[in-house]
Amino acid sequence: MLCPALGYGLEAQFGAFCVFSGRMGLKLKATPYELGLMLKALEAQTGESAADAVALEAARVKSGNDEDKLTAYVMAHSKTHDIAEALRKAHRARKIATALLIGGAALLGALAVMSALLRDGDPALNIFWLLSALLGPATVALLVWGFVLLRSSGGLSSLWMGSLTGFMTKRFSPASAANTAATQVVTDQHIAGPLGRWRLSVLSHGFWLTYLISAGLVFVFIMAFQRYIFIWETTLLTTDQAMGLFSALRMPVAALGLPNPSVDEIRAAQYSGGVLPAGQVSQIWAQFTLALLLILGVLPRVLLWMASTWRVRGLLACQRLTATDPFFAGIAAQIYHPRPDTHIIDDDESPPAPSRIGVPAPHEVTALAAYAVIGWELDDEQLAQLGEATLIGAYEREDALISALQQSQSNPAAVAISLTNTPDRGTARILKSAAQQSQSRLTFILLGQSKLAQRFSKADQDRRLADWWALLMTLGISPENIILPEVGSLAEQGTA
Amino acid sequence: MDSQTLKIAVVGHTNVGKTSLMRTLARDGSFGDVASSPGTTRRVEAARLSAGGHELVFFDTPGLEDSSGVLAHLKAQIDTGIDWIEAIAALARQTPAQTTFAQEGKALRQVVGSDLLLYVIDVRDNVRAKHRDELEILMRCGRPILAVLNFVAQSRAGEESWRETLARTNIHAIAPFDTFVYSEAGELSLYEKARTLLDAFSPVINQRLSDIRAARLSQVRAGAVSISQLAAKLGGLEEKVDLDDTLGRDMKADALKKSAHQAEAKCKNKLLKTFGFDQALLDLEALEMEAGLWEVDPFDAQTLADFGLNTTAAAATGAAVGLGIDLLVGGLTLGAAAATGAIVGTGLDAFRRYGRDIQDRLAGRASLKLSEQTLALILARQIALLQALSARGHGAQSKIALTSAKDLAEPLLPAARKALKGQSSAALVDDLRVLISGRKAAIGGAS
Repeated sequence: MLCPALGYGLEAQFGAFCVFSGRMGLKLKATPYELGLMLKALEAQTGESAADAVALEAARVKSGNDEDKLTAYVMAHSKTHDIAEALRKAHRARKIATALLIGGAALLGALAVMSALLRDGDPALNIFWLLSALLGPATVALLVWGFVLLRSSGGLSSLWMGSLTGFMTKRFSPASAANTAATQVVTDQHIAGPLGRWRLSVLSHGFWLTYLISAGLVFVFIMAFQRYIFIWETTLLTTDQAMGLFSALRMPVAALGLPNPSVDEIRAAQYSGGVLPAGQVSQIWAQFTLALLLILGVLPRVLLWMASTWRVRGLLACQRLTATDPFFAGIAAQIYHPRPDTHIIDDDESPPAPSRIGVPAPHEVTALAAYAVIGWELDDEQLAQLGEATLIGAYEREDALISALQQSQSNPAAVAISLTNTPDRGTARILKSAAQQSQSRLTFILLGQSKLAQRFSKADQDRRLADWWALLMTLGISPENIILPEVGSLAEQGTA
Repeated sequence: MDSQTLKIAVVGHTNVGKTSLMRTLARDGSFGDVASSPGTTRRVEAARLSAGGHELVFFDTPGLEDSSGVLAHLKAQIDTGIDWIEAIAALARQTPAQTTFAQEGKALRQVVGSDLLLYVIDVRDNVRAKHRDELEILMRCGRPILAVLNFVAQSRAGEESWRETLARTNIHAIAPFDTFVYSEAGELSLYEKARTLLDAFSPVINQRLSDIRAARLSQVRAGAVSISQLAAKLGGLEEKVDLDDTLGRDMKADALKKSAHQAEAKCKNKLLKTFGFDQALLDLEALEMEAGLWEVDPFDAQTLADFGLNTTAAAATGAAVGLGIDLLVGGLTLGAAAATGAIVGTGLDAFRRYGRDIQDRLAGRASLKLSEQTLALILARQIALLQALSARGHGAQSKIALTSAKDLAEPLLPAARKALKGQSSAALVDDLRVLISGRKAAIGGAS
């Protein structure tokens, strides 16, 4: 009943009781954020992408913003893999580790009080010794906690928790990437970073709260059956200083209306000369001790525990699955831009294309003026390159080209083509037809090298030139009938 | 709502960028084969994209290499008394052994089975008779056509004549979209125009539009976070050195540089992954900055000067180039002074650092850190890479030109300074996003 009543923070500290009371399963649900961290840790460990087609599809059909879709993704992913189970095991290990620490705290508290009270029938009980046993360790630990918080170091608690969680996970789970990742995530979430710091604070305050409550309960239990005479003595302080100290201790107790010894009773309790004070009302001292335990021990710890819990809650609220994290952004990108499922519909059954014919070194350029030139798919800029050549016309239709060739009375005739045009099958068919219909041996002028250079990389220019060369070779055109006016660049290109 | 499947055939002449368009639309740089040779795509290949329960299936088709021949063949069939659809279907049914137009047959087979045709045009080419023949064939297929003007980022000189030709063919849905130089607006416009042609497919197209917007937003945001994390990490890199131990200081300086290089490489890979450019697929050569700037050493004085970064202040500390030593000045180290100022704002964390600095000073140590100039340069090229990736289509094969790095280095100095003062990545991300988004707007305007 304690867990629901005190909420999240106390649940963390008293998880042990939940574990052993059989309610463990209800408390071990991993958050979507933790599941997301699991995927991240797994990918870092295995080097394999966390992408899961089913989970991605689940995210795509989920309406909402990035967070909704990413949540849908990690939830679906965890269902189809052993991630949630591994995380559940790691959480169980963490809870058992917490339980062991809390159990240890309860035992320590009981032992501390028992060591102060149960001393072979000696009825004298030194109030300083008793307060040291009850409040001393917790007070020292409080100072250590403050120091650790300032140093931003995990401190001993993190060491214990990390070691214990790791040990428990190994104890309960077989070694696997998922289990290792789960341990890392749970450990990081409870030890590392600002969240870990405040969660350890919750744990630390819970530990000492348990210690104090246990010590208080054992104290009450022993007081119910044993009778003691409360004394005080000190060699460190003078009587006046000790009285001043007691006055200071009485103030908050009195302010809250709780029982406290009077000045006379305090003075009477001073142990001197080996004589125990007579006629003491020991209940007052017992109640005073309990009040001090509550005010100086339990109350600060409860307040600090609440503050730490508040910080933990705040930090947990900031843990969202958003695409601002590069890892989750990668998943979001795959949700919005799924990697396409590619497949071949209509495969190519024709034999592979023959390997390209190398482009031989160019022969010396013949003066273009000697040719009657017919342009094929040329623009004005390229036609201008023909310079002093006799231009018959520029054509784009097969019948027009052949007609021009047939009507040409000049010899020799040349067809000017642009390297920026692709030497495709259509072009090959038409040029083949032109070569066959020509009355004389046709010459081809390849224009547009500089324009080609503007479009393509050097490798692609070489490839294009080689493609044209190969096409002309298959038409039976000899290299001396191929002219490249921009021959300077050809010389650099060599063979493709 | 019933699930929809929208089938889109990508068609056009050979070597106009059909496969590149597929790569860019599908964000898959490994799709199909791309080359400047004719007939590179000799088969029909599909890319299925999921869109919120709906599907878009793109079909890459072989180029219509001999459209004039095909048109002549079809016209001959029409003369026998059959209609265009039947003639096209008959050609599409023929096997390679039965026809010389097997490649065109494959493309037309896919065209008649699709809901939309994306007719890809290389606007650098003049309109030729073969293109008019292609358009006539495609118009006879009875499918809506959206013309995609490719390579518009390189030249728009031929755009007008293409638009006029398309209009004469009664194609009025035209989308300028460069497959190499990516523009989100261009892609959105392409889908919006497709929607006007395919009213019945509005749900799937709307979903795709929404996905594109969300993805781009998350990518840029994640990129900014990656770079701010790098800034915070590099800003926090430090080695404790004894000022009298020159040899030890040099060794630690080398270790610091190595850590910086590793962190930068990691961030670069993150950016590539975020934008869907698989590093294994991306030619390493393509990562070279223009004029080899990616290889320049950010710990080199001349490099820093080339980027307009003054290094005299850092050099005065006696540290190696690109590094700075946190010295005691006027009772406070630079870090401590920063920490003192930050105490007010950030409290505990700043207090911790202040304490550490005092401890180090008492122990006779100093901190060796990156100089703000070097950090600014590293951040500049990461942001430039992010911007380049934002504007890069998956069909692109050219080198990534990180031209904006030079403009960014100096404006990044304040952010670098903050990172060195220990500002968290969360606080830095806004500074960086301003620079990223500012440049992004400029890119959008240019394209």
